[in-house]
Amino acid sequence: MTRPLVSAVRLRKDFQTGPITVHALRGLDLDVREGDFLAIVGPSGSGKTTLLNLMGALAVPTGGTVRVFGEDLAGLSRRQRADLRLRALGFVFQAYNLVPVLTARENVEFVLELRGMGGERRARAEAVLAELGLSELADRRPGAMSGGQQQRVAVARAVAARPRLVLADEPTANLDGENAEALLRMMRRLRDEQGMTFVFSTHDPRVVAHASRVVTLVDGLVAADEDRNGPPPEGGAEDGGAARA
Amino acid sequence: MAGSTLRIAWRNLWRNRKRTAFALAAIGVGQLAFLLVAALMQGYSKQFLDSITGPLLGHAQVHAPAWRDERAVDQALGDLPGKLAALRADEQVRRAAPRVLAPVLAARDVEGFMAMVVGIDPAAEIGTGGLLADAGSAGGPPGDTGGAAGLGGRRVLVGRGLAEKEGLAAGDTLALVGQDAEGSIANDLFVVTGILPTLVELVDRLGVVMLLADAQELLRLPDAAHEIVLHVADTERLDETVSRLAALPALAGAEVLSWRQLQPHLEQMLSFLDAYLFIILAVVLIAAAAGIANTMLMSTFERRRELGMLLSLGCAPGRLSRLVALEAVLLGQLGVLLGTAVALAVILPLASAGLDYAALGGGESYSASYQGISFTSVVYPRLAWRDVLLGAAAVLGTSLLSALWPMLHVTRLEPVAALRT
Repeated sequence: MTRPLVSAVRLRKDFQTGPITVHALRGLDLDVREGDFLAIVGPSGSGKTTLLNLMGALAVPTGGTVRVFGEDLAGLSRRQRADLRLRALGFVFQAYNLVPVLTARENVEFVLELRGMGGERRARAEAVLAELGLSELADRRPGAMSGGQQQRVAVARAVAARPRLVLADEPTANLDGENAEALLRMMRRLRDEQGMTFVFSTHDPRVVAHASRVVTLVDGLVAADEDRNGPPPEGGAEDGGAARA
Repeated sequence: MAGSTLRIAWRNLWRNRKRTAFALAAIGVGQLAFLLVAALMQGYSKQFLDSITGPLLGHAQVHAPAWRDERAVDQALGDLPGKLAALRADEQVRRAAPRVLAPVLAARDVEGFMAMVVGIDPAAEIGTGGLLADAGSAGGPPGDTGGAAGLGGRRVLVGRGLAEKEGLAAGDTLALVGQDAEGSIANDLFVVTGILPTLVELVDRLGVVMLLADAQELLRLPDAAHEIVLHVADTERLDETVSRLAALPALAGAEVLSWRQLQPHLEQMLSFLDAYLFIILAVVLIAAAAGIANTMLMSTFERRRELGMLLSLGCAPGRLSRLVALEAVLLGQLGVLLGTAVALAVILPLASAGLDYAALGGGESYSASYQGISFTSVVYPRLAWRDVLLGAAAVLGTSLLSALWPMLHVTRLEPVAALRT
């Protein structure tokens, strides 16, 4: 049995909205295993994005524990969580993913630079864009790209540093069928070829169709956990940063 | 790391070109206004200083110790050739002009009038800063204006004011009566050979200018003078020069004083000009601060989601706040650059042509003198690099101060909250 990358135990997250306390997660248990292509689905307000934010060390739980690569988030400072995100995680957001004043290549380079990569980052960024068939977009700024192209560049940026886990919040929400399909195929290929783990928060049936595992949330709890493909492929991402983090 | 931060900061400035242009205009106009005022004040200040340290006062003076208090004819510096030789041997001394000054009663016909004998060495008084600097060049019909050639052999020049008041003209004979250095009556006849135009009020109003030797003979002051007016090469080193000259053996027993020591209230007036300049600078900074703070606040709040995304990627809050600071600094310094460029284009031509206040107001140019200080309606602005740097440094400080709030905002930004906006 592979050790889980993320392990949530009786995870709770409350939000205070004026006098009202919203219980977004109500004691949820979930493991994310290496190689998962996991879609978290459920109705609005079921806690999908909240769970993704906790897995991504963007927030801390109100109760229970969430361990990311073995690190208990509750014990990490703001700075340490930022470092964890930088070293071990990749993010793809629904929209406004890219720095608008940078070209596609510069966007990818920027994350590599944040990770402390030196002179070779330009070559690495170009290689990643080429690997994902995005070379022709390298010198374009986001404003000169379609939504689908921007999301594909965002994926390139998310995976450029070879993180073991990529978290994607509604990545296909603003894409048409063709672009959404291209994006999902690209991410699926990265999982299959490089052993990266993907977790999606989504309403999109196109994402669900590609998922190897589908977790359904209802009212902040796991209502169903469907493993479709059996055990995930062997081999992991080349990132050693996760272990360091 | 710095390279991409600079690139992002620079490009971010141009995301909202109109807003950036307005901010640049505010800062640029501020810097322009500061430099224009500073250049005019520098020009005015230099003219004021040149006037103070011009023909009458000089940069420094040498006297007999009691001369300034008593102004008595016998309070003179002896061994004048020795003193002049020692002074002129100093590398900083550009001019050493000996003068004899004595009040006399003058008469052309029956009625007398007050006058002042001014004995000079014409060779030391020609050129800028000398008493004869304006001779032969400033007004009056040919032949009416005297010059160095009009002196010697009991021939004198008279100040224009005195000539107008007493109706004197070239060819008139003046009888001068006074007291000599030995306490006896000094009197002699002198022929007026010309009218001396000068902005030195004392000479203009009362001056009967004669050769030093004539004055020495009239007042029985062989090889002596009441003062030696000095002009130096480097006014920045004036105090050092004065100290060195005072220590010369040839000047033992004499006092050597700089113009600051001779007229301390005039130096105070000049320091007021600096104070005014700082008031103008403060106004400029307020304009710059408003422009930068507004731009940075708007720009930061508009980019909350983008900043949240960068934080999510693992970008340290400190780096984002440095980005905001850099944007503010770039904006401020770009404004300074623009303002300075326009200021140069305006000031440099005026520095040689001059700016005539009177003409701006529809009047005629004028020159006047009061208490030995001349005033003119034409000012020659002088742009000092010190002021350019002062403006740039002040805007730099203001940029960082203006960016503090947005920087603090960025530092406190929670990625999840920012992403939701």
